Amino acid sequence: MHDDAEFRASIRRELRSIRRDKLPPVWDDESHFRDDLGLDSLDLVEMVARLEQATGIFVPDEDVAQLMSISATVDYVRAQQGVSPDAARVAQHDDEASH
Amino acid sequence: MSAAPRHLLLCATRSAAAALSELVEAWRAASVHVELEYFTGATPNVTALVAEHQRLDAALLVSSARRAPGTVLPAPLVTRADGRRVPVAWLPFRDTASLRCFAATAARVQRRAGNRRAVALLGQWLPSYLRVADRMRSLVGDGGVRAFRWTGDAITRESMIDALGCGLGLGLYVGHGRPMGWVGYHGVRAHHFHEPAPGTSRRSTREPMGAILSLCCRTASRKRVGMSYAESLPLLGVAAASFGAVSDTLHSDNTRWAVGVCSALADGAPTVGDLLVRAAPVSPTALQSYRLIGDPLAPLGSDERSLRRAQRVRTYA
Repeated sequence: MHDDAEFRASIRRELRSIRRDKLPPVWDDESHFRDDLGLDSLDLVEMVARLEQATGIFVPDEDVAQLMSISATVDYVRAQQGVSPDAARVAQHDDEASH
Repeated sequence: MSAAPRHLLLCATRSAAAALSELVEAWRAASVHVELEYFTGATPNVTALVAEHQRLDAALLVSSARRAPGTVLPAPLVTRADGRRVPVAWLPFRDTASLRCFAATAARVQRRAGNRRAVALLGQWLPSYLRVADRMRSLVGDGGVRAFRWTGDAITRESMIDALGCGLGLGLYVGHGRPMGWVGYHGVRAHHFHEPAPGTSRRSTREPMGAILSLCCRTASRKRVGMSYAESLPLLGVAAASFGAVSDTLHSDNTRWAVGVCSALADGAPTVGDLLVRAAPVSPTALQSYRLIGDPLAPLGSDERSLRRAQRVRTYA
């Protein structure tokens, strides 16, 4: 499922645009934004603002803590869009396997 | 600038509309189709007015200053039944002289028709706001917009107020705000824009800005003030339009606006109304907290002369 892979890549791009000085060259989708990558609340608020702009979904402040990694962010957005995170993951696996 | 005709609804009493005649002429000269709707008595409902008019790019309601921005308008945008968002602005009618001053200011901004994109980034001298200002500079810079960072760490209040007299198309403030003004720069009030700097008469050469957006708490609130800061700026001729909050705001909502405004500016939004439509966050509280005061079609373009003046502004940065 190209959409999911592209979505993950777009979150990665946004984060790098927000804190290119702080992020390592490579990190995995499970890396914790705060604990592993060292992002702070201002970084995450901007990420949420950009995410809302790109997807049109609304992330209430009380939900921001759930967006702790790229995978968690994708799952959250998919759940808000009515797509089962598990189904999206299977589709992504199938898609990656086909390359 | 786009030559496509735009449609504006001006809803006012006959006396208020007469005081705004200079602006109506300037709008028409700028290819704006102005529809005048007169009322007497109670202030009309803006949402209903926007729903009644099929082709509408913006609306301006002028009514008694006894009402407050927070009660006259529901938000800076009204969503029509067809899903289109229309920017709606308000202007308090306190006296004819201040309406004429606003009309002359907004007409001047309409006529000068600059096509350079530039923004003054203003902010309180606190690390979190300076960082937001830096991010905004980066965001607009990616879109080719010239950013002048005149935050509290780099410039004094007097110099910042002089600098805003360059006449840039847009100013963005981040920091704390109060109904009477900005907390940054050791406190900025509307009257500061009309006090000559000590030993000079430089205020007389001020050129109005297109719009000033205060992304902070309460600058359009009437709590314990006769007229809020956001309302005073257009009425005193500082800018053609002003955008401020009628209540306390969340940092997350202000960040949403900041990100959206920078993107919309980088995308080339030509007027303040268009900027707000493009920038509007999906957060309901972010939308409901703010109001637009003044000309909803105030152009955001800056001209060469304004840019040259802005480049000469000295800062400590």
